[in-house]
Amino acid sequence: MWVMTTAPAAAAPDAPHARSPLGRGVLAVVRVGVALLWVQNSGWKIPPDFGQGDPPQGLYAFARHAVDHEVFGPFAALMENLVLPNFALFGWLTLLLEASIGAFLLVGLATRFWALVGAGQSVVIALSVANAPNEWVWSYLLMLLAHLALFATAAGRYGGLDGVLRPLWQRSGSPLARILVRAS
Amino acid sequence: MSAGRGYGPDHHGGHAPSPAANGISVSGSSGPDRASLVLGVAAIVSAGFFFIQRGDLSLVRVENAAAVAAALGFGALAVLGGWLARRWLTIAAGAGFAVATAIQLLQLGRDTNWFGGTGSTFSFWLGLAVGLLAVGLTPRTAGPRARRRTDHTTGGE
Repeated sequence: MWVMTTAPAAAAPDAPHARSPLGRGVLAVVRVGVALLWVQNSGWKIPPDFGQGDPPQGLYAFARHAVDHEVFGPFAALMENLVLPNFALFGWLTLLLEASIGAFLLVGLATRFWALVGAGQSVVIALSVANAPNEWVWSYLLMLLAHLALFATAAGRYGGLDGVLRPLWQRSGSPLARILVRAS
Repeated sequence: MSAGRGYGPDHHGGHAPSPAANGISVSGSSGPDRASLVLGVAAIVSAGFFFIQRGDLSLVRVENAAAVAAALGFGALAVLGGWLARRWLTIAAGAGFAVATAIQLLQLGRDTNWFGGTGSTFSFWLGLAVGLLAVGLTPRTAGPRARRRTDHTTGGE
């Protein structure tokens, strides 16, 4: 993985959060590390049944924890009555969402938006499995906090595509460019 | 993936002549070109996961020759696109990864799986596809509205 050196912070009004090369490098490493967490864990979510069966496996087994080891009543009810009965659909949604979080954080594109999505998905996972046996609740709190840090620091501007393309989006008048400026 | 520093001739006024336009090939001549090069290198490096197919270090499933060929081939295109400052090569690499990503998605969990990949392969290639396409397709000069805005603030000079 090639972490390129960056220009002095004084020349980067869009990158105010890390003023030293070390700080910018660390933010890039954290972003890529968090992205690889999602990339790798997209690998065991296997369609078309996502682990439904006897015994339950994979994603379905983890989703069942939300009901069998309830963390938050309304969320458990939602899982039991909506998600589990339609699990093929929600399995695909989960796979596509998590793979996309990994993909966009990996290259640092629209990073602030995808960091928020990752934070939200971290909450969903925590609400599903935090009370399950052999789980460490801090794993999911740390996931949430890492994504919030990526959002707060606009981490894609350091060694990511947001840092490369944001100046071009800002000069463009297109609606898509304006959206990407906000998302980055 | 660290894709470049984002401070190049294209980012300060956009009037610098393209090295490619002058017939000069310069590595990393602008932020987007460097980004294409870095993404291509990452794709090529990812082929190394062919040798790490099990265990915690198997971050991306690269299981067969087709997956290795896709990673090396499209990665090389992206490197060339960045090295030679040829956007069409970057776009071609991104489009190639996009097609491979779509095929991988459609064949996930099926007996027919040309690339032998999993969701991790899909996710990684999706990142390369959107990244390279974003780099290749983002206009590098200001649009008409932005130019009008600039003309207005500078008195049309």
